[in-house]
Amino acid sequence: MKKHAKTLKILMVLAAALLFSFLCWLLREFVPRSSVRYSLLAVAGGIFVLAGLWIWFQQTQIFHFADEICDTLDALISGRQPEVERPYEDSVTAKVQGKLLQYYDIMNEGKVQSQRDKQTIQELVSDISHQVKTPIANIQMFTGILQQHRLTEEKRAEFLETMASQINKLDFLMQSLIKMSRLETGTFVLHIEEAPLDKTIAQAISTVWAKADKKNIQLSADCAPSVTVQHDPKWTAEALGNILDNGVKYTPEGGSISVSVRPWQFYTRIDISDTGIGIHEEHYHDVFQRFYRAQETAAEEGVGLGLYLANGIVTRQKGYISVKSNYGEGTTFSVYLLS
Amino acid sequence: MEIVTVHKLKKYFGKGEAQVKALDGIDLSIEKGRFTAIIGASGSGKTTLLNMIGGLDTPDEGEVIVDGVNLSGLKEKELAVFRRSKVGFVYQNFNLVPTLTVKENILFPLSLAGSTPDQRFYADVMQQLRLEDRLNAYPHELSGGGQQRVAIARALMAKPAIILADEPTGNLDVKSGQNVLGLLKMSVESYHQTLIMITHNLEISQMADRVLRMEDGRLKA
Repeated sequence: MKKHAKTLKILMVLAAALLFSFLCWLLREFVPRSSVRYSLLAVAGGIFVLAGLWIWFQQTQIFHFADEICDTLDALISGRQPEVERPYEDSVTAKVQGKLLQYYDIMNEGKVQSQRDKQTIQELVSDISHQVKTPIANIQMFTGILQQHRLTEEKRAEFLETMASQINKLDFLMQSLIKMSRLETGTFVLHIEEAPLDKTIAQAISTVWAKADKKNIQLSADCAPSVTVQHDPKWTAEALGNILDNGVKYTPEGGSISVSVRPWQFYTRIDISDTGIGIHEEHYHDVFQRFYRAQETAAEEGVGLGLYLANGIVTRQKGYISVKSNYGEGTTFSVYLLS
Repeated sequence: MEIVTVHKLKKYFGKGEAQVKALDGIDLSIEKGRFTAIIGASGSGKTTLLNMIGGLDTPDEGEVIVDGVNLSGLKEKELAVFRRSKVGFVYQNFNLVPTLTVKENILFPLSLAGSTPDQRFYADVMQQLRLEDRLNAYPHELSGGGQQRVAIARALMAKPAIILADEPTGNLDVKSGQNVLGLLKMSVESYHQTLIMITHNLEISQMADRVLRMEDGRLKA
């Protein structure tokens, strides 16, 4: 490339010399008056010099541009915020600098993300230990009593049962926490496929059937077998199951829960409506937060992960969830999945 | 990392008795890559705030810093460059050019800046927003939801630092509103965009990472 440039340069000089001598010859042969002859020569020379100056000016511009870009790059390399004097000037330099900064930001994003991940994990650990504390303290206490005191068979059975329920609670907690940490760290793999939705809904309903039956809550679902959506059936069933489970929990005896499906232009909407206690409008946003529990729900068991998990699972599949509720009358969760 | 910082922002309209405090001392910082919803009644100052962040209006007091640059230090011409390189706007009434096709509308801001689109990114956005087969249509041939999707694509095209949406579903029925919103949220997430959206619909605001409530020119906690 460099060799080519050199030959090109020599050729250019030769061509210029050739043209100039040709001009001189033309002037001598065809322009008899010497004053005109010299004026023409001067004009041609002037144009030649101007062109040279113009090229020189362009070159300094390019050098200046390269200098500024290099300064920006140097700053970025050493991790400093580069000093861009007028970032929104309508110039090539500002444009390229802007793009460079954009690129740097995107690259930096990974670093920031990993810092954020670290913080999330820290919060997770503290949340987990907080949640696990109470059941473990209970189990420890009852183990102590069982070990140190002579008790009647009846009492023993009673305490063992309490312990079993605490262990179940721990088990449930661990399961949820494992799911949550997999969700948070992005390690769970979704197998998204075009699959019939009715099977997924049936799967979700089967997980709450017994619970609903116990509370005499009517469960109904309406989904045409022809409806298919892009989703991971297993995890989506889990998400829908969590919403249904919530519905069953917060719907008084004798109520009803219905699931209906409406295919839309891009999304398929799954409505899960209950006749439960409802959610205040200002808490619509909160119910999807990790470990959030409304005051009204204190009486029910739970850790406040169900909806958080459901939201995470649905969002991972490029869908979303929304809530609408009449306080005291019931709630509708709408899950939107890509058709 | 903060992409937008607002300090003691004030904006008054009118004088004396009839003076209206559109913004009455707003302090706010918005993190990069998050979806922030601003809710509040009409007249609470939402749009004024959004216009300040987008460099469309200048404050009476206080400052707006976007991507490290204080907007009050910019000349009018620089503000124009700022808007087209850093901000994507999505309006309630779409604001598409009726005489241009969908494709031309989407590439219009880029052509103003004298740049050409990143072909792969362009194809990707079209696919995400389901516009591939409507590229040669004119805006009036599309439904409201379709037009809004075009407007979203146009906002995304310059890869701006922030996307400002003012009631993007205000002119749409519930169904197409939800469809458009889902696609907006999805594309914003997949391109790590920062979205600030005005709405008065609580149902919509729940999709946001953060909800800000405005009342009489102030932010309510």
